This record gives sequence, structure tokens and C-alpha cells, in this order.
Amino acid sequence: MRLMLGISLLLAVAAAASLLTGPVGWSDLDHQLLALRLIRLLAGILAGAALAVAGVLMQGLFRNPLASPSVTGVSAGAALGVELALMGSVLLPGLVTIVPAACLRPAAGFAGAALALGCLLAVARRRGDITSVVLLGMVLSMLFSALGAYLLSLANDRWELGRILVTFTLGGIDTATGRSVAVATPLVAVALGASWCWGRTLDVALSGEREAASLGVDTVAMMRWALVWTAVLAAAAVTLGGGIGFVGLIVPNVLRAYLGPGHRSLIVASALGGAAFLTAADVCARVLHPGPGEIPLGAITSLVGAPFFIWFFTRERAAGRL
Amino acid sequence: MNLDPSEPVLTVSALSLVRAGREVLHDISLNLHAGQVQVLIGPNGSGKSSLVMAACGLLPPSSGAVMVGGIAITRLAPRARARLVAYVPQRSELGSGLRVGQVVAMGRFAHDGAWGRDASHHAAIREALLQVDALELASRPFTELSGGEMQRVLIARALATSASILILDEPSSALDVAHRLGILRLLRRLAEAGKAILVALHDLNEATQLADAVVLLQGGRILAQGSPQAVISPVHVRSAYGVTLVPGGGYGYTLDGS
Repeated sequence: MRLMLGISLLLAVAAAASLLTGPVGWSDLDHQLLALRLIRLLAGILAGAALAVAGVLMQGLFRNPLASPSVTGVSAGAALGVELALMGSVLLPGLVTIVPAACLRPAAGFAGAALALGCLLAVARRRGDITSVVLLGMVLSMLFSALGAYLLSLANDRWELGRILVTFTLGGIDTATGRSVAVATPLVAVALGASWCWGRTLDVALSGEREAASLGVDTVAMMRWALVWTAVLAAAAVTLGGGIGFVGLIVPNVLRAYLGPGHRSLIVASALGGAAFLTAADVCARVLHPGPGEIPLGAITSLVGAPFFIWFFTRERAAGRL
Repeated sequence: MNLDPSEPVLTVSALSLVRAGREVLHDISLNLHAGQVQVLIGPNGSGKSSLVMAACGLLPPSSGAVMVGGIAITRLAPRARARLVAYVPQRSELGSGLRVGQVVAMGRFAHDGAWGRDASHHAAIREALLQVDALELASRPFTELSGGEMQRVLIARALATSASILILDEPSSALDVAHRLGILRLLRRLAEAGKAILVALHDLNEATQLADAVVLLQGGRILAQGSPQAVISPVHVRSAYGVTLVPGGGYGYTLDGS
């Protein structure tokens, strides 16, 4: 309980800093600017919570603290969908008359994630084992990433399109719109609630597929629904913030060391912790850049996350806690 | 589900099982009664573990059926199945820093609701730990226990399910003599308390001491079944294992021809 209060306090401080940080001071902030900063704050909270809880689900399902939504190919699928939408909106201006521009990005992100998810569920239905799902997820992830790189190479001769795609790939919530936040909010809320409901099942699944099945777990249903909610969370996060790494690895692993392996409390704490971490990272992206502009958010999370994760993992491994 | 005491609580009928294109069990039939300990023996690869998992409903049969209280076990929902049949693995895959109390609490999963714990949750865990003399272990990390303690905790988890049928896969194979005897005594005590127990064992002496009935498997088929004295005979043992029993007290054995 004390830990939850501490994380909530961190989130409140990060949120206040996010609203106060920018070239225009608080006293000169008009309603329009305040609304923009609020959208950015909400995007950070939603993307951070979604990524962290997606990490909890993947680590629980695969019983591996190094698992993350990226191993399922769902994040890469969502990213490819958004990249296609960004290209389409520039190269085919008529497209935005069919699908409103504000809806195109989230719709394409969720469609890309759904494509990856469809492949995973088809394999889960035919094979029913986690190893096959992991292998397919890794293949999908590499395939979608390769297609994304190909799209980026096609955009080389169009400076504006190339800039948009690179910005998205590097990750950042500064491009999130009110519409994308409005689309993502109910999806993230439902997925967080559903993830919490699967928490006890994931606790029992810590004993392995066979033992869990003997204790009453419908392991196929668990795998399907954990993949579905991971896909929803990852797609929402990618749609809001592009390529942001390490949140789903760092936040759950740090909190698990204090809370233990029980998934329900870990999901609540990770949602709060992920939101606080990404909001704070977004403030750093704005504050630490030497001139005008921002450091890409994905670069901040990776620069902080990679060495921290190596240190943390080594320490926990030595202590026998991981 | 009401189980008639005169009827078997678990019936395996003409069970065949194909795994990875190979028939690992062929035409297996047995009846398990409440209060009975039935022991599966046989050389490595004879199909003991496959039969244990099929009897638990964890492997669907290729033909034949496993019936519990007159219902095919594969037709039961996972939670309903877990309330009737409990499985104790040879070794658990648990390695995540869970405490013993949390491990045993997993046994209550099939009784818990979506939102809250079953009313008897804590009492059932305490009772299960008491039955295996492991109450003092409740707050210790599971992975720090000795092999014998781990096995007792896994049996406690199975007891926490309140299932009337316990199915164990070589529970004593990795234990020293004292812990093996402790597990055998515990299983006998549980059978006397009314549990139906199907257990795969390697050691023929242990099988003789523990069993009310023995099933000897060879190459996925039943070579002999019945009382321990009838099944663990020199003829059957030579046929199944290729070794000769040496008379005198226990079932000592030497390599065939030596």
C-alpha cells in the first residue's frame, strides 16, 4: 500500500512537471496551449500504463522476466500499420476524405496489431503451445520491422514524409491528438481492467502449463486473452507514442522485486509506475535538449532503460530473485 | 458430484494414446476406488507418465476414455476437473520466488470466484499444510526447500483442491530413503482418510509396501495387474525389466544373467 502511494505521488509530481514544462510559462498559458499540454500528458499516462501492463502480461504468460510485447510482433504490426497510414495520408491525399485524418493513425495501428494477433491466435488454436507462439511472434516482429524499414527507404526522396516516419519510429507523444487520446482511453481502460481480472490465472500459470491446467486453468483461453489484451495495449501505446522501448521491461521487473510475483497488485502498480515513468521521461525529453526542439522520447527511455535494466537484472539475478 | 463408494471413482477404459505419431499407451483399463492406493510400475518408457497425465485429463486419449463419476474427464471444464482430480508432478516448474503458502493457495484456484477468494480459502490451505506436516514451511520460499519438503508442499497443493482423487508421478524418485518413506507413509495415511490414489513408482519395494493394487506396464501395454504379490513376481519382473528377483526379505534384484 505504501508503495502504491509512493508511485501515485511520483505520477502526480511528473504530471505537474509535464503541465508546467515548455517554452511558454504557466502564467502566460492560454486555454489552447493548456489543452495541448493536457493531451500530451494524457497520452504519456495512457502509453506508459499500457506498455508496462503489456509487459506484465507477456512476462506472466511466457514465465520469463525478459519478455515484452515486442516478442509477439504486435508492436511491430501496429507500427507498420501507422507507418502505412502516415505514408498514405501524404502520398494519397484522397485517403483522408474516406477516413478522417485523426482516426487514420489509430485505425491503422489497431489494424496492424490485429493482423499480428490474428496470426498468433491461429497458431495458438492449431498448436496450443506457448513456444510456437513465441517463435511466430519473433518472426512476425522481424518481418514487420523489415517492411517498416523498406517503407522508410521509399520515403527517402520525400523529405517531409521521411521526417514524419523517422519521428514516429524514434517515438514521442508530442504528436498525439485529442482524437487519438479519445480513441485510446476506453481501449486502454478496458484492457487494464481485463488484465487485472486475468491476474490470478497468471499467478497459477507460474507453475507451468501442465501444472496450471491440472489446477483448473484453461491454458488455451489464458494464452488467447493475454495475447488479445497485450495487442490492444501495445497498439494503443504505439498509436499514441510510436517506438518507445523498455517501459514494459523496466517497470514490471523493478516493481516485482518489491511486490512479489502476484499479478493483480503488480498490474495496478505497473499501470501507475509506467504512467509515471513515461511522463517523467517526456519531461526530460523537453528539458534536457540543449536548443529548441526535443530529444526523441524513445531515445530517452532506451538511454535510461538499457543500462538501468542491465544493472538491475545483474543485481537481482545475483540475489536469486530473478 | 456424488460418488458411490461401491463404484470406482475413476475408470480408465480401453485407453490408447498416440504422442508425436507413436502409440505410447495401448488398450489400458483400470478401476480406482476410494481409499485405495493403486501403483503404476514399469521400466523407463513403459508409459507410466503418459498414463498419469491421461488419467488427470491433461492428455486427451486417442481412443477409449477416462471416466470420473460417470463423466468423461475430457468433457469436464478445467475448474470442475481440478475439483475432482489432483495431479502431483515429479518436479514442479515453479521458480519464481513464491512462498509455500502461495504455492498451496494455487490449489484453491478452482474454488475461487472471479472477484474474491472462496470463503474456506485460508482454512483449506492451513488444513492441507497440516496434513503433510508442512505448516511451519508456509512463509518460506518454495525454491529454497529440500526435495522432500518440495514434494510435501506439492502434495499439500493437491490436497488444497479438495479433490477426492490424487494422481502422482514418481513422487519419491529424487528423494533420499528417509524422505521416500515419509512420502509413502503420507500417501497411505491419505488413502486411509478416503482419498483414491494412483501413483507411478520406480521402486518395486516401495510399490509392494504401499499398493493395494499394482499395474505393471511394458511398452505402453499392461503386462500384469492385480495384487502386489501377484504382479511383482519373478516371471513378470524378468519379462518387464529383464532382471532376476533375489529371494530374501525385500525385492532385491540383480542384472539378468549375472
